[in-house]
Amino acid sequence: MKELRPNPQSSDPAPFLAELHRVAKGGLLSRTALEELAASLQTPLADLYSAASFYHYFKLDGDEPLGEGVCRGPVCSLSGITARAHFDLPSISCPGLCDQAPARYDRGDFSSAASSDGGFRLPHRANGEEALFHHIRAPDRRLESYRRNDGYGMLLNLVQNKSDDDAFAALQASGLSGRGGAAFPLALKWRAVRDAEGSPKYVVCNADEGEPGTFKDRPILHLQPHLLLEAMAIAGYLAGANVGIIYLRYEYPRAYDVLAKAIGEAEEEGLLGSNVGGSSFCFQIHIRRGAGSYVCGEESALLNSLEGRRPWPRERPPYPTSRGLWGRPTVVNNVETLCFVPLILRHGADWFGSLGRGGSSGTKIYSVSGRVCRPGNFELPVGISARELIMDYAGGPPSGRSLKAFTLGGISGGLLASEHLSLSLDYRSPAKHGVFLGSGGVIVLDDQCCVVDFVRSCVLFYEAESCGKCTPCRIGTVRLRELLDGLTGRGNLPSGVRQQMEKISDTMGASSACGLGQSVPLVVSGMGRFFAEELREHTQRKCRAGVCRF
Amino acid sequence: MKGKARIDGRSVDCVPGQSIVAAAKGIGIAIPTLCYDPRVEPSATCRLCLVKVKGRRLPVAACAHALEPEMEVTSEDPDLESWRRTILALALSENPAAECRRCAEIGPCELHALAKKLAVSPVFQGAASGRFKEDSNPFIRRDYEQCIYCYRCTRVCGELEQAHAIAPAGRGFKSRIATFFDGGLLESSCTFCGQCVQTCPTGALMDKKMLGKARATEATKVRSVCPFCGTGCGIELHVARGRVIGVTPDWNAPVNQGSLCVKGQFGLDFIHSPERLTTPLIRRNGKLTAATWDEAYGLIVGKFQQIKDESGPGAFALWSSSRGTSESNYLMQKFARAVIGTNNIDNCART
Repeated sequence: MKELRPNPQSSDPAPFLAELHRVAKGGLLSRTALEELAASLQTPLADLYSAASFYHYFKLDGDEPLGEGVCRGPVCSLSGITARAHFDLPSISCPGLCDQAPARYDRGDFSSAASSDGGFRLPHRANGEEALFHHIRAPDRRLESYRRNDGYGMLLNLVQNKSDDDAFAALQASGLSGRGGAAFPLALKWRAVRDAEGSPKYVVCNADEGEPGTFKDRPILHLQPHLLLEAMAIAGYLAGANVGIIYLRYEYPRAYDVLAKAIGEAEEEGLLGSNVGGSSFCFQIHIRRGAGSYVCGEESALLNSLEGRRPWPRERPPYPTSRGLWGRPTVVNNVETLCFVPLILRHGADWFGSLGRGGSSGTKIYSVSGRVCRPGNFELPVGISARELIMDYAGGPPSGRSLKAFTLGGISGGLLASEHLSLSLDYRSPAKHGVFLGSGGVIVLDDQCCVVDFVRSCVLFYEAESCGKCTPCRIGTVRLRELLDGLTGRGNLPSGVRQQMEKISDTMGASSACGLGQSVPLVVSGMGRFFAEELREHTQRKCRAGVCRF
Repeated sequence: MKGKARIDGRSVDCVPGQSIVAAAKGIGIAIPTLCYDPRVEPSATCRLCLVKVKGRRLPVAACAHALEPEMEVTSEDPDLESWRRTILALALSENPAAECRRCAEIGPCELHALAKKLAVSPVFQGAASGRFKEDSNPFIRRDYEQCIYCYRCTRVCGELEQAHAIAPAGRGFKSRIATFFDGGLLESSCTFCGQCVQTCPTGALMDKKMLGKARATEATKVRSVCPFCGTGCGIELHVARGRVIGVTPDWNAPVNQGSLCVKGQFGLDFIHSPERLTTPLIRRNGKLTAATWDEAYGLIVGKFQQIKDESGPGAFALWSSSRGTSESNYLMQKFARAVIGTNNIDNCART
């Protein structure tokens, strides 16, 4: 990999996205604006155009401007309202309002057609002990409210007592692992960055959850901003970084205001910025808004996006711990993962361990959506059963309906059937069915839903979000969707459709360049394994749910 | 990081930084590739070079990973073959064009040569990805109905030639190869070095000047050296029916390793130009008229002698061309000093 560095004339560690947003008028990037920007960023015109043209919400001169839209993603299309009420609006990609489906877009803002809460909807209360959500129902988000509960206490304790070793020991003992999907041990990652050669080092918070059926970071970003900021500063202190960047998904515009205000408050109190808590430690946090791209939730694509490159995933190794932002050692962690850190330091590893069940540590935010009575976020033990989560907490399917299927990890962890309800939702058990807990998103289908139609909407999502870098994903998503079009009465049905799907799925799973392409086969193969009969009926142009029209 | 690794059971010395593809090639194992051009950073986009590495859950792209000591690499097995065949069939499915003009008129393209070698036929059907791009430039034909989006052209343009004229735009299946705001190459920073054409593994990019001249089977390739400057880039002249119909770079030439510039790539059609000088010309009564070499040299000698007699050798300055070889440039300075008697000698390469 080539030596990379940010523009030395700029004090901003990642100016590109901010600059593009600044010059985009109503989302529209003009030729002149890009020419001026290319000159000031010292970027070739074609390269800037290449990067800017990637995102859903940057439109270029000559494109149709996007004024309004509606989500027809895997969850919103289950709501049944989308097709009827908004049939003439263009589609947008899942904006994470799956618990308030269907979601709408209107000139820069995202809202629910079904409720007025939007991003500020409170999570449901669990019966057991909550960690992240313990104070989330406090009536205000101000700094003084956060500090009243010992907020920033762990950061101040660290920078004043320099108790790095104790902190690392606690984090390691807690067993905290990445909650974004990959479940990598946090303490290992931070140590690797601390010990890596190269400077400056960076802390990047991945707040780009774009997974359909996953909206777990949303309440934290809107309602608990200081918890995240404290966690990032602790990461900076322990990993040896002085710069933090929150990569916030475009679809959470109000979270930007919340976070920006919180950063201002914390800097004013000396909790962020220069000389944190009167110590020699400095830590500055920047927020960068994405511009509509699921693949930017993949950490290496996210880093490329920050650098103003096309957000394609990078080939790994090297990992971001050694070669991250601008080729420098970088901590990249998901919002939820980071937010556990101050709590573990405050209450101890044993406490965190005791929150889990059946040998797992901690709690997890589960987002439940689709055909359930109480969709939303729940903070519950890692290791809770799917039955408890779906049937007890989320209220199960509406009365008179029965559960047919549910997903894990949004749509990227795989598809299971009602016979799997006893499954323990942890980081090991799902693997025996070839599925993964992933992000913790669970989408529920009842007997009125068609599994084949649902899988088609999942593949359609992947097709729209495939970055186009690698051949298997770029073409495979399209060919799979075309085959599913045939199975759901939307197109030709070639002979050998199931064998073709298997061949493509198998190849994509093994050969795609990143987790996006590698995950696509999971829903497809789940359909083949657990809903073989329903799939076979579709090859004979029959849909038992009456969803597909032949 | 010296040590030994194994590829398909055979022991290989590790060279720091050397890719698995290159190391395998060194011991005669040809791992199939389409997006690989060893002169630029690997992009690992086509995924055909996937190999299994012991201890890794998923196969890795051999073009983008260095061979490291103790690695155990498998480059051929039934899984890899199945994946490669499926990937290649997918790539073929986005190019449903009946005939590849590159294969027909210039020589087998990498995509179709590989499909033939692995006996892969287009088993998948569906939408095509690219469109023919109207572009009025005189050199490069851009037919993205043939493109497989390996991004070799954009990497060569940016990294190797530093022209940054083209880059991938859009995303996913709708990705395209574009200049700034999708304009023509003439309005871009393109220098028409033609290296995108030469690295392209399909018929998506072609030399407009070579099309319609001959069938690929009629032409022979003749190794030569580009006559335009003293760099000495290796070229291959494509010759059919006694005429030079086009140029491709000599990939093995140590000087240019497959690179050329606009002159060498697109400028050699002067060979058969009717405007080309075939005899010396002497200006008589204000008009250039054909002359013999003896007449021409006689005139030069007479004039030089006259100037030297009237104004002395200091009235001369000699300027030689770097298109000439070192030997001819040596002779030029010898002529200046020994025959004319002046040190006023310079060369255009000395700036």
